[in-house]
Amino acid sequence: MRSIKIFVGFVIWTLSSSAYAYPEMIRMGYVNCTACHVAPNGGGLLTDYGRSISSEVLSTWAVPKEEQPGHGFLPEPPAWLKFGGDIRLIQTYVDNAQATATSSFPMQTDLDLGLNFEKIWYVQSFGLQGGPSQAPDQGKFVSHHFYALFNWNDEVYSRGGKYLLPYGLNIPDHTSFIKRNLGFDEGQESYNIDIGSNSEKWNTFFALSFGRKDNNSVDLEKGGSLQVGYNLGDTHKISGSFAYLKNGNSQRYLLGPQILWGFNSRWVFLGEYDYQEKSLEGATKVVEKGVVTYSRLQYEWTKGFHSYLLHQFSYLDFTQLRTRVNSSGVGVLFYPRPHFEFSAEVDYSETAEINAYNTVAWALAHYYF
Amino acid sequence: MKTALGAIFTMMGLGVNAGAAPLPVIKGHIEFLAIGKPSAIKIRGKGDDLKSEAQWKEKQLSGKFTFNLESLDTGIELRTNHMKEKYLETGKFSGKFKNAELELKPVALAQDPCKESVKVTQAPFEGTLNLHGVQHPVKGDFDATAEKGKGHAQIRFELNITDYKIEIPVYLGIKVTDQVQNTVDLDWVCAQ
Repeated sequence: MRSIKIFVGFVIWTLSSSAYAYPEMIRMGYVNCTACHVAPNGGGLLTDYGRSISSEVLSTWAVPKEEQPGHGFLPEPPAWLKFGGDIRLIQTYVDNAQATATSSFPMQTDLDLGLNFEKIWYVQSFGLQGGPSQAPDQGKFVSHHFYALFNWNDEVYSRGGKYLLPYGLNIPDHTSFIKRNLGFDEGQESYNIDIGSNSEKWNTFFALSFGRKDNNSVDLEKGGSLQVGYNLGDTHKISGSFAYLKNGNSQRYLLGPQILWGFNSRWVFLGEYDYQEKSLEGATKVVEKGVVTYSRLQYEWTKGFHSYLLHQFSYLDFTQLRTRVNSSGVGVLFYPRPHFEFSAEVDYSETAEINAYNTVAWALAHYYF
Repeated sequence: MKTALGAIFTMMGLGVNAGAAPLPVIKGHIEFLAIGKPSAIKIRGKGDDLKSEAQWKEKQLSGKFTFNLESLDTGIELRTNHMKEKYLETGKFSGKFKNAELELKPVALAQDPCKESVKVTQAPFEGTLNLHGVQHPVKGDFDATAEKGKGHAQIRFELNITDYKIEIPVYLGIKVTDQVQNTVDLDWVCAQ
């Protein structure tokens, strides 16, 4: 019984995240993340333009200046100071052969602070570790990311600090297979340096990861990643990612394409398809070869209200049938006004061989400022 | 190449005789593409309020296309309003800057596309664009197809907005590049 509780607790705990990016905005012609986010690969602190877009494009209703951190009621901060943050509450439902459980908890409480002097940025998050009461470090102070960024010109940047290694689609759902199963989950931010370019046609990111030497309890891998993307027209992007990572007794490489395809201003498809080969050193060397996929088709019914179909597949070791998980889901997203997001998703997954069926549903309220 | 451009306007139902004839454009569409930096945002403006005053006379085409800038839409209301009010200034000076006019240099005609099938690709043209109260020469190219008296042309040209004394648009850290690409699509039906 205790193991069941731990399992359900783990599933719930992993439904927390720290970074938000909206690659589906490609359907509106935003092929690069830097229009709306300070971070070159998206997520986190918004630019002034990004705030404006949250009002003009993302939300169903808005009044002038509502997108400002103080909703237009407080004085605007000076140009060199940017701040924002996220508060998210989640209600979860997990049902499988062993148990049915519901839970609600604060998932994220983060403040992002950004200092900007000409071409230099420094960004740091301050927050409390989210999750249910039994989650490790729940309620403790945490800084999920911090970095110094230098924009050499309008396209080329270099950055160093603590953040998730750039790889694949930067989607907000860090529990998706392409994040959680490939080691890009919340809590796996590492110390990195990266350099890249966001131009009209090409995007390139090259990053080196140095793990987490500041915290021995987090045995993160070291290595590097490379991502190259090409913008086809206004609303299509094809990218390819590669990463090589190793730690004490294992090394792996993974690679695969990503597709961001806006059919028009309402329909958008996001896809990522990764192959991973992982070598585990021991008395005998074990090599695991597998794939992880993510496919999402999204439609905006009216401004600010979306629904989507989601399919995920994970088969991390072709020799172990029990590592094969097939998941399908549906979800809705609603952005009624700037600063507010409501979303819900239901996923049904099936694990081969052990015939484990799992239904996970969640409803999320997100306040960003 | 001038011959080819002439062919286009001949296709537009103007005949090959010396008498002047209007250009019977039944549908016109204008689109511009500007790039915002950083982040290479693609800003597209679209509009359909296009009037044609082109005519064919003595085997040469002369013409003027008048586009109502008020009909432009960039897809984001605030951006569209900024563009018209602050930069194009369409509502100021009693509507003096409301329209853009493209006047084409006369070109020779080689054939009668109202009676023959024609296909022209990437043929050059020259003209004058009157925008924001400033006249400036423009160059570009066009494609055209015609068959059985009906046809379509796409005219492409670039302009620098500072040539027209339009301030470079800047909005919340995004600065639009000076160079703007323009496309004019025309559908016509030749007079029977």
